[in-house]
Amino acid sequence: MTALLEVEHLSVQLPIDGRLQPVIHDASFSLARGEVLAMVGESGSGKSMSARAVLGLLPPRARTGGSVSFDGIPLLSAGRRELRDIRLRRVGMIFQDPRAAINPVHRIGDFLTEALVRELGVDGAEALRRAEKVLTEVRIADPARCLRQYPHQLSGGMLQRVMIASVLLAEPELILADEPTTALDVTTQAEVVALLDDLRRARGMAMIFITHDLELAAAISDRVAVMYAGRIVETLSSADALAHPAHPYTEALLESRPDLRRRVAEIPQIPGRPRAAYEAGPGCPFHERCRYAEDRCRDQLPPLEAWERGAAMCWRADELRAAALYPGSGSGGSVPSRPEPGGW
Amino acid sequence: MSATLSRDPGLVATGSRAGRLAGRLWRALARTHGRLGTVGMLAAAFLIAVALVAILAPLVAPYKPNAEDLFSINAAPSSSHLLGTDDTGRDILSRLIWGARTSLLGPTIVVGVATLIAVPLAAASAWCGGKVDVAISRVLDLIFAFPGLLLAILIVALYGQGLLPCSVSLAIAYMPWIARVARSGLLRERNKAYIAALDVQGLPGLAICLRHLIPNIASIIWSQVTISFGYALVDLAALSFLGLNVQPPTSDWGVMVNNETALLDGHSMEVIIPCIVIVLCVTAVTYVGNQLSDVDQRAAR
Repeated sequence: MTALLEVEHLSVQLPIDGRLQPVIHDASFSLARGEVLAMVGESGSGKSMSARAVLGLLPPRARTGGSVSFDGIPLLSAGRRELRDIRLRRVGMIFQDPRAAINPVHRIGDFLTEALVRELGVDGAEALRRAEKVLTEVRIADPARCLRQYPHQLSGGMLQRVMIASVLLAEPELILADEPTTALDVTTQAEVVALLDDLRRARGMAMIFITHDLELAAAISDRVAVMYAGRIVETLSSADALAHPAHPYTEALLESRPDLRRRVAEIPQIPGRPRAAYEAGPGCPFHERCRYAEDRCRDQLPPLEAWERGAAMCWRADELRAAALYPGSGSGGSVPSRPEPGGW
Repeated sequence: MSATLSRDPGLVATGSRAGRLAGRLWRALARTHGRLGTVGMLAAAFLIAVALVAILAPLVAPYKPNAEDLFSINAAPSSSHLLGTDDTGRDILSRLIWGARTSLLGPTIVVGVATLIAVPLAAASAWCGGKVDVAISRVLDLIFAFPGLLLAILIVALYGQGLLPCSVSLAIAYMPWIARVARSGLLRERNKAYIAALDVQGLPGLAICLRHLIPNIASIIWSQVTISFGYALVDLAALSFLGLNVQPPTSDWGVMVNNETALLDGHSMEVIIPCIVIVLCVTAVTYVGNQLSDVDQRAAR
């Protein structure tokens, strides 16, 4: 089966402080129909920007390189009309903050039916009927009433369901979900994610799920891509994501999770601060914060090297893997032979 | 003070259709009160009254504007001529009422034409950005640099006197003011997430501008339009005063002010009354406009 979305050597440069600075370096990933890819990383790692680049939703003076092909259509070079058609019917996007992403002065019904009625030529009453049906599916209690309400009358969780409903209405083949639960509180998060996954699965839609929560990523996705400083530093199956990370950064992320079964005085942190893509030197962008760093890590960029269960961008990936340094979640990093400068 | 107004009888009287209508009217009034304040409401009411009088001039005015009563020239205010008469025996009140028509029609044309040009330009500027934005902004700067009254005099020299050439030339001069304010509002709005969300839904740029961007900055445009209306009223009166705008004997507030013989003869009432009316209108319009823009600034914060 050919890939639905094929991103190759994608690079994005944005004007920052008056100069074009890279925010994504050479990112490649692909997505089959019905598959879910989670992109994980800290703020500024380029995960949102890669999703936006796919849909051409970049600031006006951004420059892109590489290629993005959706079902064989090159998106980076697509014309306005072609891109519009794909946005309208084939790819949907869910935003982080639903309150910001829905026009506050229009009713929910207008928001949900606007594209259907105005662009897809669906009859108004029929569009409302469909909207009501989808609202029922996203488990909004009184959909008819909801259609008449304004965004400020709904809670954040309800609004995000409305957002999901609006994406489902267009029946796209691919959903880009950009941190869809970050603005919600934790209990609502779980509901919304479960709902999104159920509805997507039932319709066979593929999804790119962007989050900074590795566990959430592993739970919802088939594969996980970990981004750091504008690069994909590791891709792995979600089954391995929590148990067998191959990149020191992924491992460090795992160790920085709070764990209910362990009592710790302080949640471990990764020392230093995240590097923006344009700040990175010639070497591995993570070397300053990496406990396994060697001399060559500082000077030479490691390639993204594939192994049986994924790919990792680390000079010492093979070595570290061979030494079985990744004992899995929860054990807190206690392998004796490892060099541990100022442990975390 | 808005607490008393915002109590909503519509909630109580939802039964009858009249009740619902009254409720809706009440809510609209309360909303307006929230935006304008009590003085603003009074100012708006005054303006509406003036506009109504202008529209209903044939019914309201006691005399025809040019009906001369040569037996009572320069008469003092009396029961038959409430504000007295001028040097040819024309009723000043009637001339004032008829004069409201041209005096208000002019600024309406000015801000109407200016807004119709300015808002699409501002929208194109904000939506497209980049070179389009630079080009449009430079053109606006160019028009900005040219004084409005001078432009009007130039156009009158080319196309002749009258309300239309004067109004259109002032419209051109006022356009960049409205466009600039609209553009900055649109730029702020354009960078909001919901616009990006509409964009990725695949709606065309024109539809997003017309149905979402422009309506959401309508209050900014309204406040600018209102303030411009006041300025245009004064500028057009000045052009009338210079003899370039409305021509006598057609009655117009500016024409009435331009009556130097009345001043020389010591009948200053004839000149002072239209002056007061102009000042009152401009003050009311400007106050309403300021209230509207204050609301925007409060909302922006």
